[in-house]
Amino acid sequence: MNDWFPLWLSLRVSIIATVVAGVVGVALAYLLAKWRSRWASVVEAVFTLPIVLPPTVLGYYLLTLLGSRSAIGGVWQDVFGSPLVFTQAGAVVAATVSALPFVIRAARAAINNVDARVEESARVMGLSELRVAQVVTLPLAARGIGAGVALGFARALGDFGATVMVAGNIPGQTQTLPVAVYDAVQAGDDATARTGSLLLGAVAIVVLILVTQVFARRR
Amino acid sequence: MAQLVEHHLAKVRVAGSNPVVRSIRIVSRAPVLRRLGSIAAALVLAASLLVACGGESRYDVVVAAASDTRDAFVEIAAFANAEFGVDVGFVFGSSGLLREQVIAGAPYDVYVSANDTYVDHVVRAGFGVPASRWEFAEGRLAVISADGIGLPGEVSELGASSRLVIANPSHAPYGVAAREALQRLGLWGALEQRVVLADNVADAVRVVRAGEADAGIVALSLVLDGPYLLVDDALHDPIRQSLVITTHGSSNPAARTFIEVLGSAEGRSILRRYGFTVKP
Repeated sequence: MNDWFPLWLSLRVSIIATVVAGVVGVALAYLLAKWRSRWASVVEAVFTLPIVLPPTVLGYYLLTLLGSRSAIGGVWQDVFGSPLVFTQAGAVVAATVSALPFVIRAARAAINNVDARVEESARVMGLSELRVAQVVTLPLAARGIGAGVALGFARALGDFGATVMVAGNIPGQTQTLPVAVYDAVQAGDDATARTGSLLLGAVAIVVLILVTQVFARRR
Repeated sequence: MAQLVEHHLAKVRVAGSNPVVRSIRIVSRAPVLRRLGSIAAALVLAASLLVACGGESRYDVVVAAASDTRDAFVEIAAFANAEFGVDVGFVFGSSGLLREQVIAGAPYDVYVSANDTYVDHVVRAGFGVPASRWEFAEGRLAVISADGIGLPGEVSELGASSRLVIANPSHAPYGVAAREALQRLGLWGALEQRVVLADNVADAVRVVRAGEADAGIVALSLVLDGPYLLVDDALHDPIRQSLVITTHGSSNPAARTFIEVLGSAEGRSILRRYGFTVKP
């Protein structure tokens, strides 16, 4: 592989997406875990859609929602002076939406698993809800959250379908590594396809080992 | 107040046997959070640095081109770079897919279609510069077959293949032409169930080369390096290779340079070498 741009772009996009999905996802997971209503499961289902939807369908939704002719796309264009779709920002949005459900599901499960009596004790001692979350709930759920964030990162790094629809396949601009692999296969460039695939495979294995060995270790 | 509570917590942490306290011991896990906190802070820092740097195109001109032009255009781009120092980046795909992207506002400077009607659509949608519209060549169809399966002597023998690949006619002009040829030969009705539709004509070539289909009707421009059977061009409407400068690229001088190179003697001779018919 003689062009490393797709690798750097992929790392960049997926790190930004992981940070956004991590912050938004943990906050949402906390609210969902504490929200005792049947609507909570409806909201969670909506945020889980990206896991089960075909990525192309997800990409189509995003393209419709964020395209130049949509309300959100229009506002974005007014503020930043360029469209959101077919840009690196579009790639970040696609990767974030793909990663978000992994963070939410893992974090919500971990938060639900925190012993309610511990949280109650902290409340009895006069801690505010925010402080309870900060010193009791989230530290106890840290491993689960970490596993979710790691999986989210792997998913963001590997996204193809949604990215190619929302950000396109522009070399040197929006061509991420998975998209570059697809392009190389189409061009009959086996060497690039092989290198890119091996790289993505290696990162995925490292992340999965991290998830099982570091984050999911029994307390 | 909060400080007071922290003080209490600290005290409770020391006493081990108090039943309330057993659960509070968890507080000692706070370092995990603190560590996560610093990891998160580092990530946020890295992310903002990443956001801050880069983003602009590395190419002087981005050309969205029908995938049949790939081999020829890569060579023409190398020539443009050597002669004029212009760096051309390509986005290859089916003409229909690229048309949709142009109309959705993709930042392409030039749109190259394997037919002329898609270029008209782009112009009519207000995304192409009408005066720059140019039909620069005609493409030809060719039949190729998988390794170990002999080439048919005539196109009509394709009726015997168990799996035939063509580009998807709903958005790829070479697919339309291939379907037309099969229809005019009276083979389409019998073959339709055994035809595999590829994303674009380059993908159709890949499918045959990978041995996933017996044969394919593809673009001549992509298969000159191996055995092929030329399809009589009376069997289909002309495959008119056309281009237009997009409104996005209208003020990009490199877009005009690329088109000038394409129309130069060298550009035309490269197109001819890849099997395109170029008017003298």
